Amino acid sequence: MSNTQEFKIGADLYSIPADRFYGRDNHMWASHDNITGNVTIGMDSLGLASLGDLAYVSLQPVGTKVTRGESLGTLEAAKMTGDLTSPISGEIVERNDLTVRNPALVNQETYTNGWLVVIKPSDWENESAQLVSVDELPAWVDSELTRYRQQGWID
Amino acid sequence: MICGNLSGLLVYDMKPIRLINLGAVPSWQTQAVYHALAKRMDDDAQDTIVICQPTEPYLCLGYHQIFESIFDPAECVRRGLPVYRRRLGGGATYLDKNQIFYQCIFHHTHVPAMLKDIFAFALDAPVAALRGLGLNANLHDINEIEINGKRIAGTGGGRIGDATVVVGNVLFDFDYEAMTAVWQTPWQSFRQLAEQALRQQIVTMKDLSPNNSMDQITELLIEAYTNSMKRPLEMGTLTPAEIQAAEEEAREMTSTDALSLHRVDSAPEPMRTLKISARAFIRHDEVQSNGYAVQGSFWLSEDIIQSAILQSTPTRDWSSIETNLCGSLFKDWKENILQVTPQA
Repeated sequence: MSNTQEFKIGADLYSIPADRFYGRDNHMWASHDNITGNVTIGMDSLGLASLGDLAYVSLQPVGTKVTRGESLGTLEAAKMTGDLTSPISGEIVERNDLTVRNPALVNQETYTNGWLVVIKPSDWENESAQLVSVDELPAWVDSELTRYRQQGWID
Repeated sequence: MICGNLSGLLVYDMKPIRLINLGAVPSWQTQAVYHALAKRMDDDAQDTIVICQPTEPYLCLGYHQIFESIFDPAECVRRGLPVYRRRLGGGATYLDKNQIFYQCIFHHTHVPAMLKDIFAFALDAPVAALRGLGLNANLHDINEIEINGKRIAGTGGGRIGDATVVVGNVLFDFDYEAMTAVWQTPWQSFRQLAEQALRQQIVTMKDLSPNNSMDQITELLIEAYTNSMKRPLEMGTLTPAEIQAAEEEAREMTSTDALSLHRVDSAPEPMRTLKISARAFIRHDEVQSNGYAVQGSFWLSEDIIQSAILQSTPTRDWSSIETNLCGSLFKDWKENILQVTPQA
């Protein structure tokens, strides 16, 4: 299959790389490094499309133990705050302070320099099975776009 | 994530919305109640709208703001103004009895998915209430309620647990002096411009329709929420458990931990940018120009300088250059000033 899944919202074209996993409900991506075993986490472009430009990002410090489904930080866009929900459990071993200083990086370089944290996973094998994998990606993107359309925000 | 999810839910299957009109209450309740209701939100809890007014003045910080960069702690103490940290976004605010608050606390699955739609969902009613008074109110730039291009409200929102919360107010009057006095500004000219911008960009009911009371607005708000939510509203009260939870929230929101959130190890810098409204920002910046260390405060609208105040070491008269900077792009100010500054 193609190495990206493309979708359009209005006139804007977005792409979702097929080389990583995605949180089913929280629009976070997870990229596993087969050498170190660590997982880099970021936000996906579908989630960002619903939020617009981020004004603030705050991240838990290195060393913090996070549980899948719990907060690894917070964000703010257009005066609305929310949690950055961890798609996996483990320990934060690195965080991207560039995104804290310049949250626009998350919008602009979503899948590269806009990463948020690196987690040393505690149960990657089991938890990754619950994430959206490359095979499921087209169907998942379609279902999310359908959901958004039903909620009236894509013309 | 912030987003809600309406999929699979039909509005007529939902419980009525509980509307709690607290009236004038001690200030802590005006922040703590909606936090308590949000944290207690679950699949069985009722969506709630709270309307209230604080009896005493206080200050409220946005979730991501650094306290010492926004407020002058000594001035807050001198004026006896308590500071609360809310779990919602937006900027620091001065709040008092001349403002009426509306606070929507909904299960996140009962609000739209997209951020701008969440604000429209919650703020259409206050806009309609103001229009009901014959005022030309509209929602500008996602979340600002304006009348004839001027702000009459502050708004903010956030996801707290399973709740999506949107709050806002209507200004009946505004204490510009108190608001500007507590700001931690880099220098006096910044405060001066900020106060000018605030006075120009904000409008109150006192300016527009001084005969309307808070009770009238409350009635219009309730009517407007009934119409805009397309769900029945039922009048309700806080339960003893909710009141107790709110008391705990109030302690948390004023705690050292809450106020020192996001504090950095280095000395906090005074704010460099202040948003007055979607149409007005105050910025400060510095440049070395031909032997002068120049500090500038700028009032910007869409990145174009509307007004500038310059000061320097050594001192000199900058008034003609200040005038010339008006109408130019902020990003060009350093280059522009280098071209016209004579050698010190």
